[in-house]
Amino acid sequence: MKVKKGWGDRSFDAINILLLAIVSLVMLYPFWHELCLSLSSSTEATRGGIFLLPRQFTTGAYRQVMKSSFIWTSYYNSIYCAVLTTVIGMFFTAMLAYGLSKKGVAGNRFLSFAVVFCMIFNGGLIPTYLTVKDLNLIDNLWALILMAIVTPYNTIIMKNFFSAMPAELEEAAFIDGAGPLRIFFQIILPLSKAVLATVGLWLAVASWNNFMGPLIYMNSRENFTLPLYIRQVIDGQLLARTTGEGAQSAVESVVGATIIVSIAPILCVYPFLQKYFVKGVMIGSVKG
Amino acid sequence: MNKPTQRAIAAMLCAGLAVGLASCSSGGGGASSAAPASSAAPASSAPASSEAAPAEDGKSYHFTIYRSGAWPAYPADGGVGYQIMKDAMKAYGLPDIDWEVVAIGGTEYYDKLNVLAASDSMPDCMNVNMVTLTSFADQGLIIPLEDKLDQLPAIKDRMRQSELDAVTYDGHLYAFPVGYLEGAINGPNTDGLIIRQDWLDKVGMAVPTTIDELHDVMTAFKEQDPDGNGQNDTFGYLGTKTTVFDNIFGAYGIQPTFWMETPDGLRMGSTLPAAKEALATLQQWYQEGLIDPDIFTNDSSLKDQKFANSKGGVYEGSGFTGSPVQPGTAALLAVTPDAKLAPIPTLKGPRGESGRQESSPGYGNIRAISSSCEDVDVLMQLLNWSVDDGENGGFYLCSVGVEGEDFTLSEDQSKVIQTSTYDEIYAKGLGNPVRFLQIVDRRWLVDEAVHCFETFADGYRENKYWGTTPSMLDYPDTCSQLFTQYLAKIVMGQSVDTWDDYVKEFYAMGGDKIEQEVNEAYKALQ
Repeated sequence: MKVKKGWGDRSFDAINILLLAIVSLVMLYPFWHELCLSLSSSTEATRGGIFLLPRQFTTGAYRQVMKSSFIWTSYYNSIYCAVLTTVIGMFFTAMLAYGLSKKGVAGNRFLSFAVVFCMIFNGGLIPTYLTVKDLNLIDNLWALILMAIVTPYNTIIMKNFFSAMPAELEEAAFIDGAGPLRIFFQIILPLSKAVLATVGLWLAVASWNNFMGPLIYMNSRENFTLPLYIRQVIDGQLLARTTGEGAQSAVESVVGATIIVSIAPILCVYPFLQKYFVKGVMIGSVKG
Repeated sequence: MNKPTQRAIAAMLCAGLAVGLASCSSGGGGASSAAPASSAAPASSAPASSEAAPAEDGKSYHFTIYRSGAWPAYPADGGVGYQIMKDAMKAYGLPDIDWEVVAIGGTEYYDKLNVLAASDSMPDCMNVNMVTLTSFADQGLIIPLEDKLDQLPAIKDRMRQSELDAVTYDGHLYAFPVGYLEGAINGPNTDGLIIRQDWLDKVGMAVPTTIDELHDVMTAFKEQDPDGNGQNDTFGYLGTKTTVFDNIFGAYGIQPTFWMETPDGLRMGSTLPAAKEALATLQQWYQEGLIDPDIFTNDSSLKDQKFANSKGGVYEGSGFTGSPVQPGTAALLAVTPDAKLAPIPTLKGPRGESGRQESSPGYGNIRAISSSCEDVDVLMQLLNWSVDDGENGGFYLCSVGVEGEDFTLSEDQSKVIQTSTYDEIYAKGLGNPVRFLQIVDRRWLVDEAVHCFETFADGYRENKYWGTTPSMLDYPDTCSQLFTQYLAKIVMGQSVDTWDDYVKEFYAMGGDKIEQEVNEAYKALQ
């Protein structure tokens, strides 16, 4: 049955839609601005202002960006780190969290405490650097991966999720002859896709956006990741201005093109994963 | 739960936790007993050196060189330039040297450098700023260099004594400043005010020489619609949020962020009464709409936008602005093809005083050598090679590339005619990224910019003390940020008497200690 909306409802909707549209525009415009900059001629990009459409359309900036082999190297490094961090991270976080969710296991309380302790205190930058150095992982992408795979927060989220699972499930599987490993891999994990997706997405995004890690631990240009590379492009353009060495280079439009090229993949993937983000926050917040 | 289940779960728990602890906290920070710095940079990242013939003594050397700057086109393996440089070094008679350049732009360069310093992984040679120089010298992380100057015959006589003094700390030279080729265009002071000559022609005025004339010119720019678009949308002064209006303060005889000589010893310029006069002038100009109303929020690209769109007629910039191929100027000329630019010589004030800010020592490009560097003498040979413009020297390779490919010299060698852009030079692995030391050489400037540089070369005021004292580190905001805040407040309309509060706050926020230390250090230098 169709309920006829009253005047109040409709005006509420109208205001809602208007407000949300404005908020969306505010969020969307920076992307649009960069996109327009990147497709405008260098003089028009330098003139700046508000862009509704690219001015003096050209793909020159993209050609310049694509020409550089570094963006692909950085791309590869970023994807490499993100994929490995996500896969390995989900695996280890799940194992740790599953163990912690079992009340009867010896040392559980101490280990839970250790995890929470790490959430509040950490070694700090320099001790961490020394550790990485002693592990011979300086200038090695594995430094970024190993440092990121298990975080206390993700572990607690997962632990809460596992704790909320009915114990009868495992008991039933156990009676049917399944061992603990089988229960974990074939019963628990398949039922935990939502939390795995959430944690996986967090791991992936954190790895993709990581700037300080690569800055501190990577030296060689071969190991630069995208955020570091973009920063170098932007700084390079600023430096070129002050040293007068930026003659004939397209400053703003190249920066715009670099940014667009580097955020495009995340932009494409995000809408499909976004629902897990929301779910994940709910998982963490309600049960405990 | 039965035993095997518990055991298996405990095993999983341990595996997960082991990784977890390793990654989320490194606990304890077990400082290993000083692994050599070179181990921090695996040889894999160094360009392949096996092809290069071994030097006579058969030993090969490796140096890690940190550069504060970003050259995204510079290749990871050093590019073709690596071999070109190696060949030149061999012909020059240097031993077999490998180098790895790590270039990081922006302030995060110093974040990284500090981590390296704290963890005993210092590079061999690095860019430093005055703050880092002071703290590294105190910790013994960099070595005194006054004895090493003689090992740099190619650049020694081209360094300026004033700059050598400026990077001297505790009686020792802790960094190499840059050298300068002869001639006004190669000087360190490149910044000044640029004015739209075509606007001047339109309003029938000449390039201003005093701040009163500047005021009249800017008033004309504001009121007489010099861009001819029929709208009252132009103003005079264009700058960024980091501006200190050095031309204007200079006309009152001070520089606000410089240490000035007074009968009572060195004083921070902004605390001298003349600062109040300059602030009053600036406030009046701002109220009259002569200064870009957004000046205290502009970044450099916004400033360039307004310049390119002909919103302002007086532009705080560098001599490079004069060149029509620089991005900002190119954009201006694309929109307004008949735009003409002229440099404004240093402006004089009511008492005939003048003086722009001099640039920081070594043009902000000073290099220190780590105390962990094992082969300092060989490193010195490399540095000297990189600035030697003689046969097989690296001077041109490390600045403008390969002669004949990237540039040619005019017959009298007074001009460098470039045929490659700087990006192309960097992509080869040459130029700025491998400029191990620098001799400023701007012979590549186009004529329009040369005029600006010649105008800006003189008429600046010296900072009497460039160093950093311990109290400056304790009160990091006192010497610059505090003034910037008050400058914006007062120029934008707060009473000029607020300046008195500023002086009080300056001294309350450690200014008295800083002033005392600066005076002591200054006396020790004399």
